Amino acid sequence: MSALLAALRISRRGIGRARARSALIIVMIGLPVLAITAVLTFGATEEIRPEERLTMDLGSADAKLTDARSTQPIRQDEAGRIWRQKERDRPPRSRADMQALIGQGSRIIPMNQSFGEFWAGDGYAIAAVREVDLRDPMAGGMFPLVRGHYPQAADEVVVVASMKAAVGETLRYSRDDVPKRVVGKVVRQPLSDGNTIIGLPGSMIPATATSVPLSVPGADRFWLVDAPGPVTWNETLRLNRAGVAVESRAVLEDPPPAEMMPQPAGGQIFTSFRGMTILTVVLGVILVVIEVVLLAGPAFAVGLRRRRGELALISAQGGSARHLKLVVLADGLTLGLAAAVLGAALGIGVARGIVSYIGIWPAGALGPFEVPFGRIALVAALAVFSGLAAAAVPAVQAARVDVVAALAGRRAEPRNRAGWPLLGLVLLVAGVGAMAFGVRSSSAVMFFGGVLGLLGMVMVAPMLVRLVGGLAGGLPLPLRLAARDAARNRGRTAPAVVAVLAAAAAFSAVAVEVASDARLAEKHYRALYPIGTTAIYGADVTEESWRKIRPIVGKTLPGVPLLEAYHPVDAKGVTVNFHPRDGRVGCRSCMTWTGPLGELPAGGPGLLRLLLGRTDLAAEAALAEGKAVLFDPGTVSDGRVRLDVWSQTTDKVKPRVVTVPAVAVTVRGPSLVTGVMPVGAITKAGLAPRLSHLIVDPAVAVLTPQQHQRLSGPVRAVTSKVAVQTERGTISNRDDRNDNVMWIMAAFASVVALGGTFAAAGLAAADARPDLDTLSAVGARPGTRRLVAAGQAVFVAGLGVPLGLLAGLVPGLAMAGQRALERDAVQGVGLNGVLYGKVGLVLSVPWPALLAVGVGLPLAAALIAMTFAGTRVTPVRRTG
Amino acid sequence: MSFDPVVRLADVSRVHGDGPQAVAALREVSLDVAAGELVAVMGPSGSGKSTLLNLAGGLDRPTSGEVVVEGRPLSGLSAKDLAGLRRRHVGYVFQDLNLIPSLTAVENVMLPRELDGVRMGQARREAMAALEEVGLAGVAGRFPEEISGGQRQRVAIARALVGERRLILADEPTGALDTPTGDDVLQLLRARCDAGAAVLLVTHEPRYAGWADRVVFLRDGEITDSTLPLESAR
Repeated sequence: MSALLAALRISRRGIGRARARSALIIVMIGLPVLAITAVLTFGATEEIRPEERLTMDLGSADAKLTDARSTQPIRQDEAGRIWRQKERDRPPRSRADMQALIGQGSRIIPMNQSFGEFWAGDGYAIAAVREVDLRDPMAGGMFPLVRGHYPQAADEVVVVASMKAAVGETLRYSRDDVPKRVVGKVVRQPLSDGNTIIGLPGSMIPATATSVPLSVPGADRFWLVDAPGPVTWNETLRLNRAGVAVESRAVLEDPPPAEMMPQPAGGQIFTSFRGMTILTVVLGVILVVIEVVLLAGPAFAVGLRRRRGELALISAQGGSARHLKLVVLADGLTLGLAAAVLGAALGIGVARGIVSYIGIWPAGALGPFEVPFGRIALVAALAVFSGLAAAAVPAVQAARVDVVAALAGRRAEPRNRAGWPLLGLVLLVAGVGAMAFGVRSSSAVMFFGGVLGLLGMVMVAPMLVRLVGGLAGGLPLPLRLAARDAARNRGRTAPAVVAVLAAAAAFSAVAVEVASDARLAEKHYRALYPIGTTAIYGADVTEESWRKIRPIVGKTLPGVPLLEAYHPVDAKGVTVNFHPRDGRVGCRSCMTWTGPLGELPAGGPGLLRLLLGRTDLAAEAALAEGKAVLFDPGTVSDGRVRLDVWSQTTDKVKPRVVTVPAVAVTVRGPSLVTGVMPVGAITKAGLAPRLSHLIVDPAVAVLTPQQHQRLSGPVRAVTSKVAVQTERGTISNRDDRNDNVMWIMAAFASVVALGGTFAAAGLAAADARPDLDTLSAVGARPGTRRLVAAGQAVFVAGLGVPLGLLAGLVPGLAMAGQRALERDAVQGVGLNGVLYGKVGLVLSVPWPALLAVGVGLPLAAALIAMTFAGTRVTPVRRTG
Repeated sequence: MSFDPVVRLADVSRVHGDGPQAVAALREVSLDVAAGELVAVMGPSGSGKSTLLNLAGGLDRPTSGEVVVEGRPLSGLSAKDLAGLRRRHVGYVFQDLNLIPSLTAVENVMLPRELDGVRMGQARREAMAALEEVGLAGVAGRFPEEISGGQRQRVAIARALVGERRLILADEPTGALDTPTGDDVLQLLRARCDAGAAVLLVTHEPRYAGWADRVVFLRDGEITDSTLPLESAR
C-alpha cells in the first residue's frame, strides 16, 4: 500500500513536470469520454420516460383511466400500458359507470383522442384530435396556452403552435367541413403528431364512432381522475380486474417492486435479440478502447524513456521490478482518472448547453435534464482502464529497465523485439475468417473479427515498422533520419501507426459499405411505372387542381395524348382499396410492392396497353365491355374476380366483397399492378372514381430531363398533393444521407488519423531534440529540421493510412455482403404472382475516394508538421 | 571497529559480451569493507570502479566470484530479493541523477522505506530523523531543484542511510560539486562512517581519498594496490 501511495505521489508530481505530454494523454482519453458522456446525457434528456410525461399525460390529475372494454381482467405495466387483453367484448362504460367504479369520493372528467382531417387549403390533412376541457384544473399543464384562450363552446378549438391556422381563423374540420373557430394556440407535446386540434368533449369525435383508425394503438376514451388520495398499485390491480387500465401518478412516482409485475410473454426472443445487440456493443466498445489505448500509448512510451534515469534510481534504492511497474501504472491510473473526470464533467456541461439551447418542455421538445450517472460511470471506468492499459506495455518495459546503463547516462539500446509477428499474423487471419463467417451469421461475429484483426495488427506492427525503417537507406537525409528514428523507437511508432491504421480502416469499411449499399439499392430498384413513362399523380388531388394542371401539361407537351388512371373513393372522398381475394398462391410470404397506381387501377385500353407492355386486342375489348383484366390468372374463376373492398378509416377488418366480371391475361415477369379494371366497375360497387394519374405513354413521348423540369415545377406549384415522375429505371432522387455518413466518417477518420500522427510526430520531435540540435550544430539549415518533422509525420500517416484503407476493405466488403444477402433473403413477388429474380452479391469499392484519402491525408500531415516544426536550437546541456 | 565485513567481494569478475568481443571490466577482485570503515576506490576511467560498485549493491551480477552483503551471498538471490536487499541494507549515492525531481527532499529519503511497505507516517518520521542527522531538516519540504548541489548530495546520503541500512556505495558523490561543498559531503560521509556505517567510495580525487581508512587502486579491472592513506592528505 505504501509503495502504491509512493508510486501515485511520484506520478502525480511527474504529471505536473511533463505538462504537454500529460495533457496529450488526457485529451486522447478524455475526448471520447466527453463525446460519449454528452451523447448519453442528451439522449437521456431527450428520452421522455412515462414518469417524466406525467404532466403531458395527466395534467394535474391523479390518474388516467382507460376502459379496455373487456369483461375479463386485464394486465398492465406501471405506466398503464396493457399487455394482456382478451377481445373487446362489451360496450364502453358510461360516465356514471366509471364514477361508480372509481368511487364517489373522486371526480372524473372525460378525455377522448382520435384522428381527424381538416382542410389544409389544397386538400385534407390529418391531425390528432383531442377532446378535453382544458379549463378544468385537472387538465392543467397538459397543453400550456401560447396565445388566445381555451375552448369554451363546441365550435371552438385550440391548435398546437406549429400549425399554420391563426387565432380567429375558422378551420374546416372533417370531410363534412364542420366549421371550428381557432380561439387559441397551445404548446405541442413532444413525440406527438405535428397537427393537433383540441376541443371540448363531444364536440369533435362523433359519439357513434366507436373507435379510431386501426393504425392507432391504444384506446380512444380516457377518464382523468381527481382522487381524494393517491391511486395506488393495489387500486390499479382492482381496476384491472374490472377491465380498466390505469396510469397513476402515485404508481409512476413510486413504482411497485418488479416481482409484483410479471414480465410479458415473448421475453425470450427479446432477450436473445438483446443479447446479440449487447454483444455487438461490447465488441464495439472494445474496439474504441483499443483505439484510445493505441493513441495514448506512444506518450507513455516516451514518458518511460524520459524517466528511465528516475526509474533506475528507484531501482538502485531497492525498488523491485514490481515497484517500477507500479510507478508507470500509477501514471496511467492518475491520467486515466483525470481524463475520465474532466471528460465526464465537460461532457455533462456540453449536453447541458445543448439542452438549454433546444429547451425543456414546455419551452422546447426535451424532457427534464437528466444525467445517466450509471452509464457515465461505466464510460469513466473504461477511460481509467484505457489509461492503465496504455501504460501497461511501458510498465512492463520499465520493469526491465537496464539500471546500470541508465545510471551511467547511456542511451539504453532498444530491445530488438519485433512484437509477436507470428501470433499477430494468426490473429489477422482469424479476424478475416471471422468477418467472412459473419457475412452469413451476424454483425457481432464481424465485430469480433475486427477486434481480432486489430489485436493482430498491434502485434505485427513493430515488425512492419522495422521492415519499413530498414528500407530507408536510399532516402534523402531528413526522411532517412525520420524513418530510422521511427524504426528505432518502435514502442512509440508502432501504436501510433496502428491507431492511424484503425481510423483509416473504419473509414474505408464505411465507404465500401455506403458505396455497395447505393449499388444494391439501384439493383433492387423497383420501377413504379414502365420505363420512360411520365406520371403526374396524387391520390388526393382535387378536381379543381386537376383543372389547373391539365392546361399546364398541354402547354408543355403540346399534342401529346394523356392516359388517365382512376381509383375508388367513398362518399366522403376517402380512398378505398380493391384487393383480389384469390390468386398469388405461389408465394404468400413474399414481399410485394405497390406503387402509386395501387393494386388495381381503373382506366381505359391505353392504360392497359401501357401496363401490359403489349397490345392485346382481346383484353382491350373485354375491358371496353366492362370486364376487369387481371394479370394473375389465379385471381379469376368462372369469369369473375372477387374483390375485398376496404376503406382506410374502417374500424374493423370486415371488408365488403364485390364481384366483377373479369378475364385473365398472362404477363411475363413480375408486374406492377394486379390488373386494370374498367372505371364503370367502381360506380357499380357504389363508389365514385377519382382521377389519380395523368400519364404520358413512353410509346408516344419520352420526356427529356429539361422537359420534365419544365413540367414538374409549374404542376407542383398548383398543389402540394401532386407529384411528377419520369420513370428512368434508376433511383431519381438519391438518398444524400449515405453520402453524408461517408463524409462524416471521412472527417472523423481524418481527425483521429491526424491526431494520432501529430501526437506521434510531436513526441518523436521532442525525443529527437538532442539529435536535431547536434544536426544544427554541424550546420544543418532550419529547413532540414522541418523536413525531419515532416518525415516523422509521413512515416506514421504514410504507413498507417494506406494500409488501413486496404485493411478496411475486408470488413467493408463483409458488411456489404451481409447486407446483400439480407436483401436477397426477402423474396420479392410481382402483383401477378411472378417472383423477382435474386440480385446476388453486390459489392462496390469507391476507389477515387480511397485514393484521395490515402494520398491526401499523409500529404496534409506532412505539410502541417512542416509548418509547425520548431526550428529553435537549444544548446546541449552539459553536466559535470 | 568490527571485523565482520558488511560487504565482501571474493574473486569477483565481470565480463561484458562474449567470444572475441568479450571485455573484462573486473578481474578476480577481492575486497572486504567492515562496519565503520570508509574504503576509497581510485583508478583511471574505464578501470572498473563503477562496475565494482554496481556489483557490490546487487545492481549487476558478477560473471564469476561471490558478493556477500551483511552475510548473505548474492549469487542465489532473485532480482526481487536483490531489490529487497537494496531497500534494507544498501544505499547508493551518485554524482548526479541522485534525487527524483518530482519528490520533495523528505519524500526522496522515505522512498526506500515506503517501497518496503513501511507506513507513510513511520517512513516520514524515519526520513526526518535521517535528514536531521545530515543537518537538513529545514529543507525537508523542498524539491531537489530548490536546494543546492551540496544539499542534494546530503539528502542522498540521508536516503542511503534511512532505516537499518549501513552500507553506502558512493559513486563520485562530489564530482559535480565545488571544493568546499565537496569537502562538506565527504566530512558527512566520514561522520556517518564513524557512527557505524560502511562506505565504499569511488573517486578520482586523491584529496578525498585522504578521508578514507583504506584506498584501493584499480587498473584494467584489477586491484593493483591497497594502501592506508597518507595522514597529510586529509
